[in-house]
Amino acid sequence: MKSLVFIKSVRKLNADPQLDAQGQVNADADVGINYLDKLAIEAGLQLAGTDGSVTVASYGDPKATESTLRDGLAMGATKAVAITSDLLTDQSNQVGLGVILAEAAAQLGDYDVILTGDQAKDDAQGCVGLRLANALKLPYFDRVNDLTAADGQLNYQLLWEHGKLNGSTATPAVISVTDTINKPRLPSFKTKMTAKRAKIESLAVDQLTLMDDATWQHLNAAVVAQRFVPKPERPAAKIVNYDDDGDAAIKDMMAVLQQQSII
Amino acid sequence: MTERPIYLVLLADPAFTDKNLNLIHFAQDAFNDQPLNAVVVAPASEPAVTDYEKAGLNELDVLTYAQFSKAKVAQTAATISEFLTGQSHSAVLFGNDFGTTSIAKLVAAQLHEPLITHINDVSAVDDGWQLQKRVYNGNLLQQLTVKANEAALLTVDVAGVNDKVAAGKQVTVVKNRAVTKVATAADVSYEALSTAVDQLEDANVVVAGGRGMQGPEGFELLQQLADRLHGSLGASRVAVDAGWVGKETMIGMTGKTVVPDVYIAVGISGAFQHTIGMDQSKYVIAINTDPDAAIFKFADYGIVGDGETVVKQLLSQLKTPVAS
Ligand SMILES: Cc1cc2nc3c(=O)[nH]c(=O)nc-3n(C[C@H](O)[C@H](O)[C@H](O)COP(=O)(O)OP(=O)(O)OC[C@H]3O[C@@H](n4cnc5c(N)ncnc54)[C@H](O)[C@@H]3O)c2cc1C
Ligand SMILES: Nc1ncnc2c1ncn2[C@@H]1O[C@H](COP(=O)(O)O)[C@@H](O)[C@H]1O
Repeated sequence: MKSLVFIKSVRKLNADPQLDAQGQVNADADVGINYLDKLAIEAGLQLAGTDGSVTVASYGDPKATESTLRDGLAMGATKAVAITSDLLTDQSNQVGLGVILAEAAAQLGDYDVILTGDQAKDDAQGCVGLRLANALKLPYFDRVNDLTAADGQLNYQLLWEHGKLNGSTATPAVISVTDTINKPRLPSFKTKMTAKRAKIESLAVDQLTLMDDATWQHLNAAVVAQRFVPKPERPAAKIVNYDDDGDAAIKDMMAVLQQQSII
Repeated sequence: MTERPIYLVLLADPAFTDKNLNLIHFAQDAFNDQPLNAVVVAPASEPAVTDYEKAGLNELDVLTYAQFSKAKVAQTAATISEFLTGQSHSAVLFGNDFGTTSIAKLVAAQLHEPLITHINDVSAVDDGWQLQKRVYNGNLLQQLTVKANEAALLTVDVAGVNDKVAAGKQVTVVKNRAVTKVATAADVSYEALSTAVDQLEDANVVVAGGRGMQGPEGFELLQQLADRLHGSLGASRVAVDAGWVGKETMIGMTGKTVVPDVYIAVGISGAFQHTIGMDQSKYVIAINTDPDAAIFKFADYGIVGDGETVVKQLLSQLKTPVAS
């Protein structure tokens, strides 16, 4: 099978996340592949068999994108594509991103399955996969935790309330993977070296072919700004040592349970 | 503030009626007294109408067809999309559970409208609303501003909302609409993990254990404590992977999100994959032998000590079962 895997660069937070005046995560922070996207690459590698391929593609800041794509190549992807576009004018509104990625997929062609992570750590949206599928008019499955190919079909299992759903779909299809689907492989020294030297292709999305202008405007109209703020501080806990005075600790706990109307 | 009505999407499921009421309550709070319309999708108009007609809504549209099932994701989504296409709307709120989120995503794609998931707070700003959600595993909050006079779909994390709506003063206009053209449903098979009604997510008290409980016997003690406190048993992934307790008890990134009044963590280190599922609990008690364990950063009260010893002594103090 030939997979096209969309991977996102996410900034790594240090213990005390630095935000700039616009409420964005410090641009100097290290970036890495969004964790679930590594699992999407792994799923692609497992589906590839002997005659398949895995293409990784990413949109974003050029420097971050290059390092993320090289990480994807180091895992074993066969081709890497950096996507640029002038259509996402407002960087704090990423609602239309899935449509831009769909345009990129349409230009690239040559895939049996499009894989994404279920959601990115930095926005936890989980919307890219479904927009891709919708724009390309392909079937879509999210929260997939098992995926195999047989007779040109894809058999999937996805997590569902109190259970799982099993089904199969014709290809091409768009699949978003969840964190129980596999364990991503680590790059070897050899693949790292190859990745370092590999060529990264670039692809520009400069017009919409899959969506008309009015629909695009409608999609992008509502969200006007986005910023991050630190989580509220939790006051430090009262901590006691059981070996110092066990009875007092238990008394405290009983008092807490009473205070909270539990007993 | 807006001419366009706000909609709530309620999927009929006896197990979710309380969550749907919490969603209504959240919206009433968040959109201070703006008229709220709700659309219920259900196999039949009863009990949907009786469940929600006194909830203080402005209008209740009940879409019914006999074969409705939430698990038929695409079919349900198509029904909702078709309905919303015909109604001018501003924000549309959905619940945040697995199935409802999947449905909300498909609706957002079909309507070409933005979807912002996991919202836990809404406040009014000029011409719109500021929405808040947790990102980076709960380490940062993201705030998004949306315009009130444009359409946006939201899924709302109602885990923290536990005051159900009071009977409303508002008269609800009920519109029954039988759906005659239902989209075809894909062929899927459902494999239930457990048939027992799951209490953990709604528990007022959660007693959770990790590797520090050292085996299934430790978890028997925790189960006793949970029973005494009318609570539910929870666990870390390590304890689940070791087979000491069932999968359905796992709390965290891969498991459940709980928001009890009291969370008791025994022998749990406090890895972020675990804490993301419990860090909204109202009061956290942590028991751990390691004074530097990360779990103490999430705690209100901490005991440095052996889990088994502390729990045994607490149990002996709680000798008689407490009245509920
Ligand atoms: C993709 C991914 C998803 C994950 N999802 C989840 C998830 O959903 N939920 C989850 O819980 N984990 C999850 N994990 C695992 C998580 O990273 C941690 O490994 C796990 O939460 C640790 O469990 P623990 O605290 O029981 O064990 P440990 O980290 O080993 O901690 C045991 C603790 O017990 C204490 N202890 C030891 N002996 C005693 C004693 N006698 N009395 C009291 N305390 C004692 C120790 O000091 C220590 O703090 C996930 C990991 C990954 C990679
Ligand atoms: N900028 C991007 N470039 C490539 N893929 C992306 C990008 N943003 C998101 N994705 C993909 O979409 C998935 C879901 O992201 P999100 O909808 O942002 O939560 C991610 O796991 C990636 O697979």
